[in-house]
Amino acid sequence: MPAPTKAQIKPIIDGLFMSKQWTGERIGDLSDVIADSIAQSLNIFLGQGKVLPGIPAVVAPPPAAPVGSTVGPGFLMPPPAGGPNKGTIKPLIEGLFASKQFIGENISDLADVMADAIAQGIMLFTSMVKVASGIPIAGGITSAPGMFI
Amino acid sequence: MPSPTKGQLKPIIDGLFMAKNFTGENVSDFSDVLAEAIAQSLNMFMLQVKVAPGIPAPPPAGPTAAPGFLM
Repeated sequence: MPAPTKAQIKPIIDGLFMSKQWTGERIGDLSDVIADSIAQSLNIFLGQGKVLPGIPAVVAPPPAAPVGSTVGPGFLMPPPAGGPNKGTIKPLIEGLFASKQFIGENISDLADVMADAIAQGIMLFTSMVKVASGIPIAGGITSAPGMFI
Repeated sequence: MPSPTKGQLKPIIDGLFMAKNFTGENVSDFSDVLAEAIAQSLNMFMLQVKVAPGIPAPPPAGPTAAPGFLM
């Protein structure tokens, strides 16, 4: 399954704005830009994200077949190698604002804040979330997907 | 929820708005919406994305010998 899409995120943001009584005519467009910004950033994260080598495992030695499982957590590589940073995200947000005709003098600063916020969220994610142990190993390689915990 | 929470993100975003001199009365509400949106999206990412199989793990104790990729 891919990273969360704009279509998944936008209804959440629409609801959050509604709960704050934000009802201006541009709220739908603003919600759209935020949802698209987060979705595109997470899609970049999906492509760049890496699990660091070094996960401990128990694997049957020869002459047995190399079967076993990981026995410890996996850690994520932090950005910029393991995910997008603010410098990657900000231009895409500026483009989204421009496409919705948001042209106020503070738009660049708002794009900056949003890019920084998303980048710091991804950075925190890479430091907090781990890969669960117990990934099966067959033929000397992991043989099933690893899950985040 | 082990992915970053709204409670962790909101103070960061408040600080970012302050650093850019956004001081309107609605800034805190906007910060709140953004923090919650990012937190919920990261939680979805955690639940939807997996680590791809195929990471080499040599006997007898590994450890894994190459990076794992997300899918």
